This record gives sequence, structure tokens and C-alpha cells, in this order.
Amino acid sequence: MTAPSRSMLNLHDVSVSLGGRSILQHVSLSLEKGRFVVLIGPNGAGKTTLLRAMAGLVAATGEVMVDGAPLTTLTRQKRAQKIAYLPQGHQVHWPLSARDVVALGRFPHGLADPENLSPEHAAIIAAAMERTGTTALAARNVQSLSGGERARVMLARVLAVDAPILLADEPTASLDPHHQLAVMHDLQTEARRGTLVIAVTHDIGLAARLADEVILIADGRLAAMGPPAAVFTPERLAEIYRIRAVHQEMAGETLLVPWETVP
Amino acid sequence: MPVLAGLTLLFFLASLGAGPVRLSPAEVIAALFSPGDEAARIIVLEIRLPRAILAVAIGGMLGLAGASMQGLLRNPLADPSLFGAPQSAALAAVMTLTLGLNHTLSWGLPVAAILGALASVALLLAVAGRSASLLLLILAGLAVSSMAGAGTVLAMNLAPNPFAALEIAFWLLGSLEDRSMRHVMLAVPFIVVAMVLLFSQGKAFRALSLGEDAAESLGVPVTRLRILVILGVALGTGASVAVAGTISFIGLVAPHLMRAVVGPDPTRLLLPSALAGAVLLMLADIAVRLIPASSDIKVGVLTSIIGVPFFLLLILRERRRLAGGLA
Repeated sequence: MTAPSRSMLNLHDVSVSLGGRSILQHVSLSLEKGRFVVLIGPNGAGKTTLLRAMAGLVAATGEVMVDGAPLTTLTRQKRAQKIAYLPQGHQVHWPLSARDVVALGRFPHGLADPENLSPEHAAIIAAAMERTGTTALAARNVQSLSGGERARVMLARVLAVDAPILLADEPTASLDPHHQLAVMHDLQTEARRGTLVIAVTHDIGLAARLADEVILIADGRLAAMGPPAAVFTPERLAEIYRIRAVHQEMAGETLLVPWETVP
Repeated sequence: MPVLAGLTLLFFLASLGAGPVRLSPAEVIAALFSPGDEAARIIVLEIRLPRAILAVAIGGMLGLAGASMQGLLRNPLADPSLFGAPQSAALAAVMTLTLGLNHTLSWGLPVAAILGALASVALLLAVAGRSASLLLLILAGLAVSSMAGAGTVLAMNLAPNPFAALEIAFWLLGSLEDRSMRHVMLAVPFIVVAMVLLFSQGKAFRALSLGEDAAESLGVPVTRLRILVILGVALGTGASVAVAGTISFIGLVAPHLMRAVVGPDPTRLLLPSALAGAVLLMLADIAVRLIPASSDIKVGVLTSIIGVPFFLLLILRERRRLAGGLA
């Protein structure tokens, strides 16, 4: 799979070893801008490592190309402007205001002091909070927010980077259904605006419904990639996830519900 | 902020006026800028000015080092001594006292102390590795500081005579008494370099609030940041120990105090913490001159004695706030 020159993110034969253990092996893939991609796979398959390799946060062999340029040739700041990365856990170590946290998204663009914003930075921060429905939380201490509210503030933070690539590691973990849907919807909307969005999730149902493309990782290898319907075959679900799922079409959408384990 | 700067100036003048011979601020300014009363001039310029400059520089350094450590570790309980630099500086200084080198070479002790602090960084990185995780660095720091502490006790144990042991013990208490411009010249350049280094990294602490991965993805070179902060803290606290002995708690308390005033933002906290540290140390140093006691109270002892209950109070308040925040 060699790169079409227009691809936004291109991985060629990427492998990662940590502490002598091989975590990711020979992953090659190519993704276009404006796609909502869901990265999926069983626990320990290497999803987070793949996402970190895409973000340049872990040493990898092979080549990661961002918008036609090798990731390793970009300066730190350029890379930070191109790739927004939302880690798992949504932790904030100080009781900062939600707005100050979102303002950190402007850090790669040279914002030094969130109390002293240029109109341009202020507009982008306000728009990011608007799109995630967090404007009303601006002055709140992030540590006092509920998990769902915090997840959306953190999403606003990565949106504020305004990067062509957005990587989100389990953005919906431990959220209630309302916030799960809201976050996935916001990510899909962001993709429609032209951003390449790659999100890790365990929710096969939402992936099948909302994703343009699914990357299925198993045992550190790329097991399948393509539109949800092509990836989530009963055979793969049985082999890789060891489950059987109920599959329905409803109002033109795919309904995939994990039903029972298989040996 | 202007209030803090004003307080710093006020206490600086007070520090020049306080002592056995009390001088009013007007007399101090007269002594500083115009040749008049020769006795007042000598008292102010040669006895009290070096002491006041050192109090500002060292207090400011400790406050800044504390705020930087707390920013780096994302923890309000971190302290400049966490990676063992001041303890190592103290060990090196105590070794020169034990060997009596400080009598043959007047600059031997401060230079040894600064080298000791730098050696602790080298040892820390050798043990933990250049790209070590924070946890590994903290463990290695614990080992380095324990080792320096053990070495200091050993040096006292091996002191050639009781007088030397007493000299070591007194030196360890930390004091700004009888310091000259030579001490200022020795310590201040290192402190200035350390301050420039730490302030230059300050911006990154805010990004670090989101954790190391997020900070890295925002363009912060996290590994380099760690090494530079450790180096800056070691250089600054090493130079402080070199001329004043060990002065504790200012690095911990100053950022705590300022958090209540300027908020939790770790970057915005740096300058106020430095100013608060300067004010606190000057205050303590004025207090030791005014407290009537049969033998001199050392300033390091005073900062600890006031610092500990204060620290407990802060923890209690933090606990209440945290408990309230979760509800």
C-alpha cells in the first residue's frame, strides 16, 4: 500500500517495540483528510501505541508521513500544529478554569498567556467551546466538573489546536450514553469540517454506525481496514473479539450490538 | 504583583535598617547614596547590604525553585530538595569543614557546595538515565539525598574535634550573618543563571498540567525540560547552600502562599513565588536580628519552625477544599 500523494496521514511498515517487547508490527495504512476513522481492537492489541506512533510520541521504525512530509523531519512546533492529540483519562493536574485548559490548545501557535489573548486566539477558543457545548463551563474549575463535562472540555482543548489531524484515545471511556453520543457526534462533525479524525473506542456499535472507516488492530497487527460493514464480519468478530453480534439495518443505519461470547 | 514588588523593596530597606544599631529608612537611604555618617555607611554597605542582597537572591531562588519543582512534578508538595541537590551541596560543604579546607581556602566551601549540587545532578541522571520517567527520577533523587544525608552525618562523626563538629552543626542550621560582598559575588551569578534558566522554561509548566503525553503533543520537549529544571534547581539551591547553609520550607511555602493570590496556573505562579520567597527570607532574617535570645537564632531554624506549622495548616486547608470540591 504505497501512498497516494494526497493522503493526510500515511504509515509505511511501522513497528514499535517497548522494553524489548514488540507491541506493533509492520502497520501500513493511508488516510485521507475529512474522514472519521475509528481505531478498534481488543484490550492490549496496540491501539494506544499505534495512536502514539501516529502522533510521534513513541519511537517507531518505518515511516510516518504527515501531509506529504516525514513526521521526523517536522519541528516540534510544526508537528504540534499538524497533529492534535487527546490522551486517555482526561486528567488535569491543577484546578485550572475550563477556559484556560481549552486555551492550551493554542500553545503550539505561540499563545504564552491565556489571560492576554489576541482576538484570533480568543475566537478559535470560543468556537471550540461552542462546538462542544462547553461555553457555559468556561469559568468552572475543571477538576470539579463531571466526567462527561470534563471529556467535552478536553475535546474542546484539542479542537482549539485547529490541526488537520486529530487523534483521540478513548474519548468516550466511562461516559454516560448522552456524553458518549455527544463526543462521537462532535468528532464526526469535526471530520466533516475537513479534519482527519482518528478515535480509539471499544464501542463497536457506535463505530459501525458513525465511522467512515474502521481500523481493526489485533495482536499488534493491522487485521482489517475499511468501511464498517466490510470490517465487522461475523467471522472477524468471532475470531478477534470472540463475540457474536446482532446485526440490523434500521432507518438506513447499521445497528451492531455485541450479543454473546463465543469460545 | 506590584504589591509584592513593593513589599520586597520595603523589606529590603527594613533589612538594611534592622540590627543592634537601628536606622530609619531615611538614614538607610542617606547611607546608601550620600557620603555622610561614616559609621552608618559602614554598617549599611558592608554589614547589612550583602546580607540583604543574599536574602533577596536566596529567598527568591528558593521560591522560584519550589514553584518550578511543583510545576514539573504537577504536585503542590514538591520541594527544591526532592532530587537531592541542596543535601549534596551541604555534604560537599561539610566535607571541606571536616577537612579544615575552609580555613586554608576561603572560597573552598562555597565552590565545593556548588560542585556538590552539580555532582548530584550527574549522579541522578547516571542512576535514572537521561530519558527516565518522573517516578524513576524521584526514586533516584531519594537515593541521592539519603546518601548525601548519610555522608553529612559521617563527616560530622569523623570531625577531628568537637569544635569542628559544632562548626558543622551550626553551619548546617543556615544563616546569613556576617556575609560579605565576596559571598554575594560567589552566589549571585549562579543564582541569576539558574533563575534565567527556570524562567525560560516556565511556559511549559502550564502545558504540563495536562500530563506529559499531552504536553509533548503540544510541542513541549518533556525530557529536555526535566533535565533543565533539575539543573536549574540544583545550580540555584547549590549556590544558596554554598553561602547560607540549608534554609528549608521557603521553596515549599512561597508557591503555596501565592497560589491563594494568583491562582493555580503553574506558569503564572513563578514570579510571585520568587518575590514571596525573597520577602519571606528577608522577614525571617530581620526577625532573627530582633528576637532577643541568649545565643543567636539561625535563620534556617526560624524558617523551619515557622514553616512547619504553616505547612500543616495549608495541608488542612487543602484537605477541606479538596473534600468540598468532590461533593
